[in-house]
Amino acid sequence: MIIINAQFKKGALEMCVLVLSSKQDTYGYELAHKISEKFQIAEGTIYPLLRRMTLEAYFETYLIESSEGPPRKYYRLTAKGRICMIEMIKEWREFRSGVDSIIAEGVGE
Amino acid sequence: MSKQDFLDKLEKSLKNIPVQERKDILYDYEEHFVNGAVSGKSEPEIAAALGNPEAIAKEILADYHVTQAVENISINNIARAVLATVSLGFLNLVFVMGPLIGVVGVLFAFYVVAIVLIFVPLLIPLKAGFPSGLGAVLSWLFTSMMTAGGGVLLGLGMILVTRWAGRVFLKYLQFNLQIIRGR
Repeated sequence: MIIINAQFKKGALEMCVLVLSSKQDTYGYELAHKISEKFQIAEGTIYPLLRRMTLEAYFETYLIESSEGPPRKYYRLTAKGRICMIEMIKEWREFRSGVDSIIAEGVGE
Repeated sequence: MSKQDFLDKLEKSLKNIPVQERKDILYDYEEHFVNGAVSGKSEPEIAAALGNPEAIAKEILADYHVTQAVENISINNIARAVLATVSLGFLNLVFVMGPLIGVVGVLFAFYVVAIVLIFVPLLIPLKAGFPSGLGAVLSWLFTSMMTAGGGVLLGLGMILVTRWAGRVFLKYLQFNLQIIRGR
């Protein structure tokens, strides 16, 4: 069960990252913070994910000087990333409604 | 764990990754600590929320080694990719090592056959004595040409098959990594 839980989260994490950066550009800490407010994750796993998604051209990055420390790395969703996000949301909704209806029938709600 | 401890552990676990890329990876975590400090969190709090640096490093390493092996197919790179993937957990030991041992076993068997065929011309005189008389010599010669020729062809073919098997296996490793990531 613990394994299944971890798998769920990992799959959903990518979609959350895409959605959270779709309205405005964002940076790693902000993403980690917003996601861990909703469900528990190891925040450190966000950075390998962002790296991979940047390599796959879902994101473009740029640096902005910060008064508090090192420049902040911002992530901008690309057109490719946006298409992927829309596709993932669609698949997620289909999956969720399928599972929900099975649960509803099974539990007899 | 302090910021320095976390970054040191992560850096140590990533020592196989080239300096430039490693710095790049570590930079993200440094930035994370600074941003956390700005919003009023202590270093141990931030480190705890990030998770175990060694576990993070394992995921980064598996990614890195598989990418390396795909870009540059060699026994060395494939071995590293396999090790890095296996280190992600017990299930991978089964799903990666099982097929790998099977494939390597079959390839090895065919190589042995090729080598034996190539050496048959030497084995015949050892077993049956050196052929005497024109007929026996000719028959030895033709048998030798057939078996050694077949052996060489099989060996060359096997080199191609091995390359192909390596490529297919890497595809399988990538597929495996995607499952682990839950995609």
